[in-house]
Amino acid sequence: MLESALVCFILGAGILSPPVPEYRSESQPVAGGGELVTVFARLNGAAPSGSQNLDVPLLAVLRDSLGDDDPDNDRLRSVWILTSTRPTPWQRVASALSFGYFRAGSKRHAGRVPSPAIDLAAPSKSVYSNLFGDSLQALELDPLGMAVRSTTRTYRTNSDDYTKLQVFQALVTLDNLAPDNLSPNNLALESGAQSALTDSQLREIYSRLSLSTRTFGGLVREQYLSRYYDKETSQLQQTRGHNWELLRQRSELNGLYFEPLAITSGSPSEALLWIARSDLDSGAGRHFDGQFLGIANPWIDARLLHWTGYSQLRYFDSDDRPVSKDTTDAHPVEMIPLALYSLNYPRVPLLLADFRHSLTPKRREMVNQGATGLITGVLGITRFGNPSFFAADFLWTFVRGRHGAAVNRTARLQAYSGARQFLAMDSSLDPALKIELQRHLDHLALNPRENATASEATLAREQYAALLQYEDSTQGAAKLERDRRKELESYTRSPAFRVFAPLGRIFTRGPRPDPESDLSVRAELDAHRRSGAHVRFLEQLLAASPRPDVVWDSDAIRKSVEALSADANARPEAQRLIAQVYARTGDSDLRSVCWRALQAFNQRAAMPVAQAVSGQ
Amino acid sequence: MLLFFPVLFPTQLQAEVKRVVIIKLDGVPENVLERELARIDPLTHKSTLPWMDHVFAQGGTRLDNFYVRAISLSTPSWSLLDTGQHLEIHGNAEFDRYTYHVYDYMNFFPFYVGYARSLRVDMPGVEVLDSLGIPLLIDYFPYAATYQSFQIFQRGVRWKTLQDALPSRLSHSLRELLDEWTIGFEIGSAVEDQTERELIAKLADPSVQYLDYFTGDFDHIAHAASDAASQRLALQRIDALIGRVWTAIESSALAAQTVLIAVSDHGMNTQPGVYSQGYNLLQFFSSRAGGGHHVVTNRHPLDEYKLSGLDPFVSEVVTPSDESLYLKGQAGDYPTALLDPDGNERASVYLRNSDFNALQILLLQINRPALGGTAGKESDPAIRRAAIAAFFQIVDRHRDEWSSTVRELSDELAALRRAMEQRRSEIKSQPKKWTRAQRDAGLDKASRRLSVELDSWREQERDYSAYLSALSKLLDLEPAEFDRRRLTAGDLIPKRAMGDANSVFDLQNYIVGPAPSDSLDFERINYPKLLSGLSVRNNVQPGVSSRPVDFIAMRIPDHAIWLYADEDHQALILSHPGELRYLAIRGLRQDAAGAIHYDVAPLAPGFPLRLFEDENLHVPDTNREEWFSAWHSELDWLHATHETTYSNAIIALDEQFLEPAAPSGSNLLARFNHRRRRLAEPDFLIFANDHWNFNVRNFNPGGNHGSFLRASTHSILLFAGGADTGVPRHFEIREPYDSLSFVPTILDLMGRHAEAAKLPGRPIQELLPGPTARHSSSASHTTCCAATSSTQAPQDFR
Repeated sequence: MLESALVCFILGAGILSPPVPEYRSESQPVAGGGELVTVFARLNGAAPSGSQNLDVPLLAVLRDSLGDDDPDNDRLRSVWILTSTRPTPWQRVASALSFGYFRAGSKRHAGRVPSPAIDLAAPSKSVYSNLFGDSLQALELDPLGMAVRSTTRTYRTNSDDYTKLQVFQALVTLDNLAPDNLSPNNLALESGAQSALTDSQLREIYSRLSLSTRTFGGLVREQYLSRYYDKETSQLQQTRGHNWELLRQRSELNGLYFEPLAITSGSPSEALLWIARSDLDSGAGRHFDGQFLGIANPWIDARLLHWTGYSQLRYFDSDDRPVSKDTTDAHPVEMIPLALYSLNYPRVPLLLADFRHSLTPKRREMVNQGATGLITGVLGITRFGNPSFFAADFLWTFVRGRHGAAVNRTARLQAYSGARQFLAMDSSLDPALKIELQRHLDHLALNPRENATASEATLAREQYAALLQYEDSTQGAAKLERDRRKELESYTRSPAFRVFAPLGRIFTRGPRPDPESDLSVRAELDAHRRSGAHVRFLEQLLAASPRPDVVWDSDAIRKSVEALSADANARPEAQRLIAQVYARTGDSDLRSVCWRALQAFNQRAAMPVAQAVSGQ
Repeated sequence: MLLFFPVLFPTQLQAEVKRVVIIKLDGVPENVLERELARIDPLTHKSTLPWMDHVFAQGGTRLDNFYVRAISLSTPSWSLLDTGQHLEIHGNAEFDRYTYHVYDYMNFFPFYVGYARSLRVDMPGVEVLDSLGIPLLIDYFPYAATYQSFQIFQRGVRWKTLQDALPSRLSHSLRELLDEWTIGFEIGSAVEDQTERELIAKLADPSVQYLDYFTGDFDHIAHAASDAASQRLALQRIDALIGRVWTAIESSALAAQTVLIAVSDHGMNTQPGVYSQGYNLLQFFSSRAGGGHHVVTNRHPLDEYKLSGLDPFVSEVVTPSDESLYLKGQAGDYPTALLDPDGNERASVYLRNSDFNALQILLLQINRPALGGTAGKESDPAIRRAAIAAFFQIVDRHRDEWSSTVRELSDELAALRRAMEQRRSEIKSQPKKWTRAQRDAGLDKASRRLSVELDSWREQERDYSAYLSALSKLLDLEPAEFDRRRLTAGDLIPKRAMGDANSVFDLQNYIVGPAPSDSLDFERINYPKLLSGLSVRNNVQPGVSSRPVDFIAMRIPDHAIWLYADEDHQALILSHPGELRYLAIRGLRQDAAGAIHYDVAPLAPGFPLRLFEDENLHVPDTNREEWFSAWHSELDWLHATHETTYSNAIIALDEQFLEPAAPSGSNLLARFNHRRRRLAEPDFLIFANDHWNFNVRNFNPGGNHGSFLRASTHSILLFAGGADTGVPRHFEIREPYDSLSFVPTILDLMGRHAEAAKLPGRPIQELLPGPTARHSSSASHTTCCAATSSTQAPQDFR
């Protein structure tokens, strides 16, 4: 009886306890009045048993909250991708080897504070450094001969690919954290526990990270970020649906079985193709159309007839629906896996693993990358330096792409990155199949800088610990304070001053730590940030709708108008915005508030009310 | 209750509408709109669609139950909404069975280029309606008092819009352009943006009475993605547009007399978390099991993966079959199936007349070499003689029908030639140059319309004459001719023609090739049975059936529509003037003599449209069998069924298969145009099961439409008006209406009652200022519907 009670208790606990979400975010205060917001994922891959080890920190963001609880004056700063590590010496050397398509060992431990992936307060920095690097490569290094050109280009490409790989993994994480993609259980948890990142912060981080993989992405202004996020996430959903359907139809056409794979909270991002052993016996000579599948005809493959690799016994009902073994009309079918595809690649599913020819995807990738390396690195022919080559390359790529070839290297990398993360997170696949898939996917690890998936969890935890320690230290607090001062200068100083001020600090050794001064900086920043937030809010509101009160709660508009009117340092721009709200709103109360605000400005002689209203 | 409206709301009696602005939304479903209207954005504390909520939900009138009257497909549906007349265009593409002419209603490129070369003036759909003398809503207004956006039923092209679109799109600061370019420059929206600017500018002109704006944005997104976020974004773009247009209306001189309307042509069967699955009918029909047809579609299959798919002018693509039993390598001359799967939850199928197939197969037998065959039987003169006899047996069976066709069509073509002569002289009398004032009045376009129609007549005269010539040759043929010379299919069987429509008998015994045995028999297919039995093996979505086909529908003699789900589950929709009846049957078959036989089945779950078991079927009597056993008016059917899974399918099917009355014999040109419409009708329609589609051009996992499933037929219709228009505010109409009500309601709102009265549709009484003079039955409609729906009293009026 005790035993059955215990069983009931355990089962009951399992049912009643809230499900553990695959992704969650958590905020932790750090020294200097900031917060470190971390996104954790529940690892279901080759993680050791013991629930405390399953949560892996994947992404951390420093949110400068100025030490208070009010979200209105928060500002996001650095973003760290915790699985991204600095290369080992051997990884660096191997990265420079042309045509060295192998993983150069794997970092085991990473105790140092990781480098931020992006500084959200200054996203344009990376654009200039990348442009400088590209110019240096084209103007100085390329002319030094084949050896230098090839080595430096390979090194930079590998480094760039590694950064992108990590960014794409971070995007998968953020995509799964987005409210629209959370499963009902996770959504309840997130909303109940107040997600540590607001929707707009999530959009900002996602967009900035994604844009960081584009040449001029860092220059995109804040007001475009939300639109970009919407476009990207919607496009991803469309791509997945399209590929899901394409692969299902091709499976149907060729007599194969299609199995979409999804992390429980999202739409299917990967898919497996299977063949039934019983069909092989009866289907010899059957027509096979391999377009879009990229695999050899299974119906004439002798190896499949004597297949000794992984297979799975599944049960189907009379309608060919997968069912449990106990279902009345269930019949068993032995299934042999043929291939794994990513559904995230634009226009066609991307072959990632071929169970019969493990090296096929790798060979294709090597040929693609090798061709680029040969032409650009060895022969020194670049698209921008050679118009004929540019035209020919464009035509060739267009025609191949049109026929469904996977010609976009960045998108291939993104698909591969998504599959890596999927395998790490998935809890539905048979462990033996998962190991098999991981083995096949590892063939695509062509970048010497890439670490083994198995060690990434350890690396992320170690880097996170180092980061936490750093952010909680006086150095971390001092860095935050320095960033705040720079930010304050952006509000109060001219651009020229900001260019030359760092030179002056070299001689003066920068501002001395001064708690009182720090407090005044925070107070000033608080005012500027709030003012800036209200101005941005009104700008966006007025740009979005001819009548602001129709699309937004009047109280929120009133709050912004009142805040700006009370702000002695508000710029004339604020007055113009209030005048526009006054002119456009149909809410009489709001009009009164605007009118009073404009009079307040008038008293401060910023601009006569009449001029503000007429000039809006 | 409506009778008291004038007393209760006297302002309505003085209602005055001088201008109507219509926002035409392609494929916005009512359920998605409701979902998003009801959703409160946690950030703004307003509806996710704040402008639609403000203008229509709070400040206007919503129809909760507005349905597509025919199949839920853009071209037929817009044709009903744009004309208020019964259906004449039955698909997004239609094919002429005799001439193989493709009516490609949704291809804009040939139209633009044709317009630029002065060869076209209107979109193809408008040309068809013009030929039948059916005016569009826009035609009720003087040309200069209208502004029409780019759309399916478009008259003329405004080059200026296209010219100004790109410069306007690029007229931003460099910084903005860099931002736009980096996040993905959207050049496609340039024309829509420019149209909006022009429409808003036109609102400032009080002489403009009709303006419309068409957007297919939502339809495009919903076909591609079923997730709520993507669809919300598309709706929010529409919402913002409505906000800008409404604000412009409010600041215009005619604000008080302007009515803003948002209408969608159909719904969309889309559900978050479910992908719509495609079944490739093209592959089916070209396969051995499907008959080995060479199949014609109006677009390339999987065109996004072909260089030829970039050709924007394509309207006719032949997909040859490698498995044809007797026409291998002859796809160009003898395609045997025409397929229009557009919209995707249904497909129109035109199969070549089964007896044409038989004749061609027999010709192969007749023409087998007399010597040198691999077996003696091939040169057996007895078999040849039998084949010739069988050939003439078929011709004789059709002799009366074909002779009549030749006779009548010859008369009609003669009339056409006379009309062409007359038209030539009319064109000669037209001015060569046009003044600005004449162009502003649209006279140049009217003149060009004459020339375009003449060109079209020339083409028709040539093509139909060719068909007639082939048919005449067949009728004049005598057995002895086979002995005199070798006659091939090219001499006797009309090329690129489907011939007359197939009967039920033909489709149940469709000839696809010679029988495998040595006899003169044929290999036959029972298409209804074969199609309804199709199933797939990849069933990974729990709620989606393994069978892609729901049912097949076709017209049969005596004003009946046959719905086939399987041998034991079939139905007839019977119609006689003003009334319809649903009859559950099984085992319908037609014998060779043309007689139709079936058994009436007791009503039970599983019959087509699944009305009997539908819990949302509202019938006044608790005894459903009794209700189904009687005839009911169209309105009774609408009230009873509109909330069921298949909504207004009974009425919609009747509309879809309605046989318009043939014009009187004296008007040969009208008879010719009537014949051409009949020739564009398919043999049958295949309807897809829930979350299935027949798209072959591409993939539409997000959602589809085309069926009678309520998600696909349930459209939106929203009204908002200025102070003098009398359009009720914060008002929901629950009484069901359909597409035919749209135009008469607008005309009635504008006080054009006489014109509205000529249209067959029921105006939306709840919107109108008191009972209109016509439609005296409106009160009884209200009484009738009180049992099934309620009409909320308006809270206040402007």
